[in-house]
Amino acid sequence: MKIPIIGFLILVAMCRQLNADHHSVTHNKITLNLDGASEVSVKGFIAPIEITLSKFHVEWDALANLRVAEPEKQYPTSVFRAFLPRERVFVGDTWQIEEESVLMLLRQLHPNPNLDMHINAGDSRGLWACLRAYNAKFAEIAFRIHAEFKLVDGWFTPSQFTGHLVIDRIEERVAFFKMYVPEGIVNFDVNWKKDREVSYFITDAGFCSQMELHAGTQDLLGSIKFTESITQEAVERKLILCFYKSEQINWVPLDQALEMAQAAQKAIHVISIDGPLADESC
Amino acid sequence: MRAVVLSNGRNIEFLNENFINTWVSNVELERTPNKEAYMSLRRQQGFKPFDKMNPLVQAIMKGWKKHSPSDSLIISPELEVMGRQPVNELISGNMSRRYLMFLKASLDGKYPGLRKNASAPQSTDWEALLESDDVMGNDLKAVLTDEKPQQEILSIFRTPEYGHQDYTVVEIDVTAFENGGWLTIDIWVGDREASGSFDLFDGDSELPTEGVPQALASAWDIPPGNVDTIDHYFDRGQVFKLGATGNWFSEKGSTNGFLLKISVESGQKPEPRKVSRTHTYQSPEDLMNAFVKAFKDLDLEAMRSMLTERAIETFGIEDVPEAARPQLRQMLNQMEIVSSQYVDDEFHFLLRMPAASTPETSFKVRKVEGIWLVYDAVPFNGN
Repeated sequence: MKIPIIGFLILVAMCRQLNADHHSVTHNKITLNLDGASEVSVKGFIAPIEITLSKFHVEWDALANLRVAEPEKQYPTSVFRAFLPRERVFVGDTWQIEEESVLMLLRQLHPNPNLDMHINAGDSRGLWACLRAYNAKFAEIAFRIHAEFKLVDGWFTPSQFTGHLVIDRIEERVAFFKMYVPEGIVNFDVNWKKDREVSYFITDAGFCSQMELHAGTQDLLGSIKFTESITQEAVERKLILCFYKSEQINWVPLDQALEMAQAAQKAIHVISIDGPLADESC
Repeated sequence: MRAVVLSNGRNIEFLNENFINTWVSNVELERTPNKEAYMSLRRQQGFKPFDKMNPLVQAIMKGWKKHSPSDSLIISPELEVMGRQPVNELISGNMSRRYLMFLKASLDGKYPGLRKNASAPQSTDWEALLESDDVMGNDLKAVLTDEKPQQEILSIFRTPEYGHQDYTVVEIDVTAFENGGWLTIDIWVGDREASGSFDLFDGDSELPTEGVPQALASAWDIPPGNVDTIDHYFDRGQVFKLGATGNWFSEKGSTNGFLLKISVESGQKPEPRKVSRTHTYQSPEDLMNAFVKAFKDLDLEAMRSMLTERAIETFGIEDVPEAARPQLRQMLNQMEIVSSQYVDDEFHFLLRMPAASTPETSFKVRKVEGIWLVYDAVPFNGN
């Protein structure tokens, strides 16, 4: 199938990104470092999948038995350097995350992670981070990663992996780390080659209540007073724009659309779609 | 859909300018029985779905096309459904342009994808018609032109076994409409027992005999005595085939009549080129080199002058913000020509842009009115 996506569009998307970054509201660039000598203990969780649209979690053993590969694992702190920018950054700046270390972390959840996204119309792939906030002692990096797992006879594709890395800037250590699949009506998509003799996959989607890696305690996040920051909503917006050009459309929540249309006397353009438009679980 | 029609610069601009844009999950609206069962479980887990009695949700549900997995709908502030584009009927040709035409037609009051325009024909004695020899000898070909933009065709369809098609094929020739247009097919199904399904294909397609047809547009399961409409936007003059068959749920071998009112509303002729051609190129190699230079220099005006009108529209070239130019130039400096070759009367070249998410793109060049121009570009997948 021919897809009319060309360099121009990519170029324009990049321009907008660069332009958006240029307008960051902060004034100071900071450097982020981690000391490679220490270690970080990371806990992993995958809750058993109990709900899918077409009951694949009952019929397909690989999905029914999807469990965390290693509940706890030690990593050298250097692994988390993959999440840091190579250059000094402002709050709100975005950068790409290095892949190898992320694959290493994802293997704690499942032995066969994949970042290439087996279904990719052009905007699915990517690992992006953004400096959300900092003060003299801490810096918080938010991230969004699109990854999936190769199961026996199929694929498990979460909506996204999102999360935070909080680093202690003085001691150059990981203070808190959480990478997880967020809630949603559905938050994963699966492709199953039920009949190995055929070339096609059959699909389903569902909800997994917990799929995450974490280190440290979340209480820390609430207790830090940052000197410079952008909101969680703003950082999510910056990150999603790194993936989907369609997010340049001014989407509004369904429950606000009618009122806005009546006020502006504009028609409503609504897409009624199986999976979420803004992640990979579709 | 997300990565193509909703990522097209021109479509984004048009959507932001003219609409309030929103989307909703079919799962949350419990569009099918398994989605309903799923939501019942999610509610038990504490998920609070959208209120289905909300007036906008009611309008959305009213606008759904049966069997369609996903629909784009245009709904007025007074909650009238003004247009419908089933996603499965978008997957062919220049999807971005067709989507834009769907949006524009909705705002123009043309009700694309809906049956607003179809009015019942004069009382038809289907029984007599189907018994007559005339119907069997009917010419199943419609040739539409500016002078004769509408034609009716009467015939019969037969019901196949479940999961199959037994098409009566109607050829629709719209080659006279060089600049494309809207093809509208109003379909009335006779009053015998069989329900009908209708699928529109490109003229050079081999029509399927079983499975779910991958058609350009479809109207399935039209009950006896009912009417439905197929709307399809086409870019350039061409021939279509419309397949009419009994649906999968009617009795095998049963027949029914159908009447088609086929019409075309001509597309607008392209506006005169707004770009100036300061230079034309003796060979496609010259054009290629100039194009790459213009790309690296971010000389968008020069780039536009090397593109066909359609390519300008499709590619959606926009101005590059001044602040972003230095970094982009640095990135574009890495761009290189990987290969080039003549393909029949065309010339193709492959550009590698290491920083792009689709690093290699194939550009196609051909002569238009004696001038070499880039007319297409597609991501290169190695085949």
